[in-house]
Amino acid sequence: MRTRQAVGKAIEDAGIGKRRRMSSIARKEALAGYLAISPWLLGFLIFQLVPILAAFYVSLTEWRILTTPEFIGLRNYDKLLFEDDLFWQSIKVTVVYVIFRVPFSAMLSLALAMLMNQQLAGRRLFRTIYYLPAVIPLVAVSMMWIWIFNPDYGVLNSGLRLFGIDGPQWIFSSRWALPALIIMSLWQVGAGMVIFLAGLQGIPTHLYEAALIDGATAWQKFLRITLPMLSPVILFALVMNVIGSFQVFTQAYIMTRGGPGNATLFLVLYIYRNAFEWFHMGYASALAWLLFLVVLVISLALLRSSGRWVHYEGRIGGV
Amino acid sequence: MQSQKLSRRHFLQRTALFTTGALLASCTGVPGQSQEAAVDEGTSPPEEPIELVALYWSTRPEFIEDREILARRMTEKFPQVQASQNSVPSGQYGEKVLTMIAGGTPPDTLQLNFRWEPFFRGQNALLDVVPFADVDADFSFEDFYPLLVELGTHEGKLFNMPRGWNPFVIYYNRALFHEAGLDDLPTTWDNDTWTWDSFLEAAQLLSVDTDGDGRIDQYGMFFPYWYPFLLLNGGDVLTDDEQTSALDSSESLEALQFLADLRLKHHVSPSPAEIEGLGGPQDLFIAGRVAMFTAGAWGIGALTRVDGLDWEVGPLPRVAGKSPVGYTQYYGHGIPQGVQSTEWSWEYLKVISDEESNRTVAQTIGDVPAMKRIAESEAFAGLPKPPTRQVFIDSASYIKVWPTIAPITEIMDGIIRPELDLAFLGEQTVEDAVATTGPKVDMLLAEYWESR
Repeated sequence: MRTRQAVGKAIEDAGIGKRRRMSSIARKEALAGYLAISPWLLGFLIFQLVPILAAFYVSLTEWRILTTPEFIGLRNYDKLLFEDDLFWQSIKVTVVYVIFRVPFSAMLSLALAMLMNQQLAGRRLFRTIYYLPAVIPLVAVSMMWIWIFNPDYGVLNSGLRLFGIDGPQWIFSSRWALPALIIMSLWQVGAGMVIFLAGLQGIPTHLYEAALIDGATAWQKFLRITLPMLSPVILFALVMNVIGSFQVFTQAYIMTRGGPGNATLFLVLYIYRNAFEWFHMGYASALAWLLFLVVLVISLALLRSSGRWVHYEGRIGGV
Repeated sequence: MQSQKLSRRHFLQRTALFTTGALLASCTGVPGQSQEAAVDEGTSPPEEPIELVALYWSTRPEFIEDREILARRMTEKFPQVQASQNSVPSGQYGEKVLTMIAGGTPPDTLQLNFRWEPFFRGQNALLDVVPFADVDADFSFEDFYPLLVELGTHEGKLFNMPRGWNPFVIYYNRALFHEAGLDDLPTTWDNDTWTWDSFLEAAQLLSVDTDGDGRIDQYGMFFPYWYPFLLLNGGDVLTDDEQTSALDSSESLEALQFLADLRLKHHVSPSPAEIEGLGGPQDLFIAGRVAMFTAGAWGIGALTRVDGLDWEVGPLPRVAGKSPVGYTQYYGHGIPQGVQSTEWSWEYLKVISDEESNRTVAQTIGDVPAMKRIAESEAFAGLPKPPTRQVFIDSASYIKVWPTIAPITEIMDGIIRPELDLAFLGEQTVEDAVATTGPKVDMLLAEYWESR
C-alpha cells in the first residue's frame, strides 16, 4: 500500500500526473473536435464507408436488385479482366484521358496563375473570368461544347476555316472525340489556377530578392525558387487531378454517350451502364472496386515519389 | 477580436451539435415511415380509405395530362380512394421502379413496354393479371388487339395489360413532294408502288442544295431507327430461337448496307453532326430540312400543333418481291409484386386500360388505342388530321416487334449500336461492324441461356 502511494507520488513528481491533468483539457478539446467533425464523420461512415464495403461484397455476387444476390466468388473479376473487351477499352480511354489531361491542365493552370500573380491592371477581373468556367455546372458546359464542336455550325471549325483549315468531325468521329473531350477539360483550368495562385502568394519575397542580388535570370528564379516552393501545391493538384480525371463521366454521358463506337467509353460511364442501364450490380461493383484500386495505387505512387521532388519548407533533407 | 473568436467557436460547436442532431433525427425518421407502409401491406380491405399511385415514365405535359385524367377518374369512381400518378423521367424509370420495389413500397400499378416487361418479368417482379380478369365479370380481353394481348403474355401469364401502340410509318411533307414532282404515298401496306427503289428515288429527288453552296440543305429522309429496316428486308438481330446473332444473314447485311448508303453514298440522309446542329427528326421535318422521316404515332401529336405544315403519312416501303412488314412499339401497365392491395391495384389497372382511357390516350398523346374498336372509331381513325390515319391501323396485319428476350437492351445498346454507329459514319464497313458484334452477341446469349 505504502509502496504504491510512493510510486504514485514519484509519478506525480516526475510530471506525469501533470500531463494527465493537461490531458483532460486535451480530451475536452479532442471531444469538441470530434463533435465538430461529426457531421462529416457520420456522413462518411454511414453514407460512404458502409456502401463501399457493401459494394465489395456485392462485387462477389450476381445481383440484379430484385433477385437475391447469388455468391459467385471472383467470377466478376475474372470476367472483366479476361473476357470483357469493353472493360479494357474503357481503361484505355480513361488512361489516355488522364495522361493528356493531367499534365496539360497542370501546366496551363500554373501558367495562368503566374500571369495572374503579376501586377496587371484589372487582374481581379481576369481572375474571376478564368475561374468562372469552374463554377458553371458541367451539364451546361457540356451542352455549350456540343455546339462549339459541331463540325458544320460550330465556332471551332468556323474559326479554323478562317485559316483555310478544314476542321475534323470532333465528337462525331471516333478518332477526334477523345481529344475533343481533353481539349474541353482544359477550359476548366481556373480551379487549378486558384490553388496555384494561393501557393504562389505564399512564397516569401525575400527569396526572390536574394536571387535578384545574386543576378539570377527569370528562368532560374522559376526553376530554383518558384517550382520547389510550389511543389507541395503541385503534388496536391496532381493527386486531385488524377482522381478527378479517372472519375470523368458527365461530358461523355451527355455529349457522346460513350461513342462514336466506344471511343469515349470512360470507365465510370461503363460502370453506370452496367449498374443502371443493364442492372448488373455485381459486375458494376467489381468495376467500381477496380477503379478504386487503380486510383489508390496511382495516388500512393505519387505520394511515395513526392519525397524526391516535393520540398517542404522547414524540413531538412529531401527524403 | 477575442470575443469574435469565441463566438465563432461557440457558433461552430452549436452548428455541429445541431447538425448531428438533425442527422440522427433524419436517420430515425426513415424506419418509422416504412413501418407504416408495412402495416398496410396486404391487409387493407376495399372499404377503408386508401391512397393509390400509378407509376409512369416521361414527364412531357401531354403525358401528365393523360395520367391526371386517369387518376381523377379512379378517385371519382371509388369514394374511399385517393388515386394519383407519378411520372418519372424516362432515363430513370428502371432505377425508380427497382428502388421502390426493393424498398418495400412498390407503386400500385406500373407502366410497361417491350423493354421493361421482359426485364421485370425476368426478375419475378410482376403479378399475373389473368386470375383477376377471370373472376371479374366487367372485364374481357376480347376488346384488345389480339396481338397486343399476346405480346403481354408469357407462358400463359399476362403481365402487361395493353393500352397503346405506336406503329411506325413514313411521315412526309406533301408540299416538298409536289415540288419535286412526286405523287402522294399510297395509303395501303399491300401496294406495288412504294418499294425501297421508289423510296430511294424519291429521297434523291427530295435532296436539294437550295442555296447552291455545295452543301445539301434539304434532305430526302431521316431514319432515327435502323431496326425496322432490318425487319422490312426479312432480317433480324437474333435468330428465331434467340440462341445466336442473325445480323450476319444476307437479309440483315443488305438492309444495313442500304441504310449506310442512304447517308454515305446517296447523301439523302443527314449525318449525326447535322442532326445535332438542327434538332431532332421532328424539328428537322417541321423546318422543312427533311422531307420524310420514320416514327411511331407519337409524331401526330407534335405535327398537328404546327400551322401551315402540309404533311401526311404513308406505309413503310416494302422490299419488292417480299411481303409488306409493319413495325410497332407498344406499352401497357401491370401490377408489381408486393403491392399494398392486389384488389385495388386491379381496379386501378382496369381504369387505366378501359374504354374511356383508350379514348383519352388517342386525344392527349395521340397513340393508337389498344382496343381495336376504339382505334377504328371516331376517337382515333375518325380524327381529321392526318386524313390517312387508317395507315396506322392497317399495319396491324403485318406487325413485327422488338425482341423481348431479357438482355436485349444490353445486346442492342452495349454491343450492336456502337459498331453500327461507326458503320453509319463511314468509319468501318457494315460487314466489319457485323463481324465484330456477332461473337459478342453469341457469348452474351450463351451466358443468358446458361443462367436460366
